[in-house]
Amino acid sequence: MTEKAPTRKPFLTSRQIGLAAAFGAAGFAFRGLGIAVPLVPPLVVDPGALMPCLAGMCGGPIVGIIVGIARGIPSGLPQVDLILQPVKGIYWAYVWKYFVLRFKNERTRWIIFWITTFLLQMFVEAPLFTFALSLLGFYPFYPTWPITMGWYYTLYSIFQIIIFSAVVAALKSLFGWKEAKAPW
Amino acid sequence: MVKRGISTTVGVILLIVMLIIFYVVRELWQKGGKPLGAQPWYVHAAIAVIGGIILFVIAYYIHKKYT
Repeated sequence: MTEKAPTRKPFLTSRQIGLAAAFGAAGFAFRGLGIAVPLVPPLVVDPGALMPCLAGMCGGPIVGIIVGIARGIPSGLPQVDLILQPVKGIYWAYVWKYFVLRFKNERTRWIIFWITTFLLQMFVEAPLFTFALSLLGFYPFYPTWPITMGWYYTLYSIFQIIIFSAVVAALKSLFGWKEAKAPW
Repeated sequence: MVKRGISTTVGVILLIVMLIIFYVVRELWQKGGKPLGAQPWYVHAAIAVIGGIILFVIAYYIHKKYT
């Protein structure tokens, strides 16, 4: 009798290791070299901060965490980014797998994806980062952030939607878009 | 023959080495700032790089759609 030995799922597959290295290097390079469009100092539009989200979506939460750490290392405030960037990778991985990809119709999925991106930016990421900055004394009174920073986060979420859409549209199989199934 | 990728252990070790290199670069050179920020061409270069990436992705997408 031949019996197949049970195969243990590896902690990280080769694909996930490659994704973590690629997105991690991109996240580090964007922030490390300061490749960001400056708005009102110290606010910038930094594509490096999108890497943990994209990595989480195509590689899963562990890849999102690794890329978040790589993005957090060169930060000016590593005590904030080393914690919150990996958190972004985690929640984007699960939102992608268990919410966005649940919509089978592609047109509906695109719209849901854009709305989700905007809502996560405005109601999860922005409050988290502003709260962390206020704890460190860089922001005076936390509840006022929608008035003072609302315009910035709105602009940033539009930038995020454009970059996310372009990357996902160009690399559909990497994100499991066509099959509507997360590849991790 | 079973086709295998790199082993998970080796891969994870390499990722840890990558993060250590990033940390060393930060501590020795970048120091949490923007080392290129003092250059006069910095803002234009940043906008050009980001614009270039967006254009590249759009071009790639169009190419893929029509071939």
